Amino acid sequence: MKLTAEQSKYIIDYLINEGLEYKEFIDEMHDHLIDSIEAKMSDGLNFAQALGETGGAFENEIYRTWKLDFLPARGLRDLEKKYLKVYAKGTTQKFYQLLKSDPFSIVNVLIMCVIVILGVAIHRSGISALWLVFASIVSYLSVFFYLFYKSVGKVVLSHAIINFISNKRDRVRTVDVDAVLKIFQSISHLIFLMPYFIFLASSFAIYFPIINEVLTPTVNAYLSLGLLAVLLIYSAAMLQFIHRKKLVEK
Amino acid sequence: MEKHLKGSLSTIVLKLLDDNGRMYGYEITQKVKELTSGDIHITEGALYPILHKLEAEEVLFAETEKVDGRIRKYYRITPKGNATVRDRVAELRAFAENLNLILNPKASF
Repeated sequence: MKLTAEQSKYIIDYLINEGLEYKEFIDEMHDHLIDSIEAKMSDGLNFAQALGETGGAFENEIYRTWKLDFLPARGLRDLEKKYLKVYAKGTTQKFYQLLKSDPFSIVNVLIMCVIVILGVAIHRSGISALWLVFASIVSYLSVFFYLFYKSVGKVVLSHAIINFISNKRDRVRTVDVDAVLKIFQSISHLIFLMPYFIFLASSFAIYFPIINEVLTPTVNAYLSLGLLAVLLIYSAAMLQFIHRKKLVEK
Repeated sequence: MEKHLKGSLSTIVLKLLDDNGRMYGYEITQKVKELTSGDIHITEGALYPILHKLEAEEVLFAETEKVDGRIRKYYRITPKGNATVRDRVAELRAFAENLNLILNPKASF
């Protein structure tokens, strides 16, 4: 027995009332509930009874998710929490595996050598060597964010898009999230390179007055070399990110 | 039955997906019910966390399709997951055989 469009919409409202928020998970549960309710209605139950029984099947599973919010969650809401937790955990695991599997590859060693040599130049120029550490951190952060985006990022992003462009009740039904996500995916490289741009902009904002001051009386050769080194480090960090991104995609 | 099922649930799911190509959540619960004549019932609360975990581990790959105006999420085994399926099924089979030896000692002679 097929459900009507109104009954299908009612199920989405039911899922939202149960506290579900993430579209991907709601879609999966919506499909499951419709199949289950249709089967139960074919066995003679009415819609309300079939929905009650199907929903009850989820309630029978009790999980406690103390680590997440110190409150026990049950049924569908808990399943959704587990859903996000599993993908988030996968991200950190993949990140550590990647770091472990590839610490001394030729590309990495070369990049590290370049960073050390350029670091000396930066130090001689008077620019803080902390930038070196910062550049490396930025590179690893980008890899982490890339992995996060590949796993749970799509779910979180679609959730943010839905909340941003529609009202709560209609958000699951009316928004073509996939179309919006396609736009985000097409510019994903720009998103992952964002930390580098921020890093570059902030370093210029901080050092511009110093550069101005030093260059006005005499041109400092070390400073020029240092600035060149900073730019090369950005490039090295980007190379490292691209290299790791390829490893992730393999 | 449920307590015995807990440790082998992911292997059961993987074996079904290996045999059937791709399946969605509700279909898996019904297939298990059908194959075991209703003796084994996989609860939704147990099935979905396993499917999502296997997907996060890249043992499974998920694809969505519009069916009757709603979105359906199908799962299939990834090339990387094929080896996992073989290992887990062999492990479970060996365990079942050993269990049988313990439960029916006379039958082994």
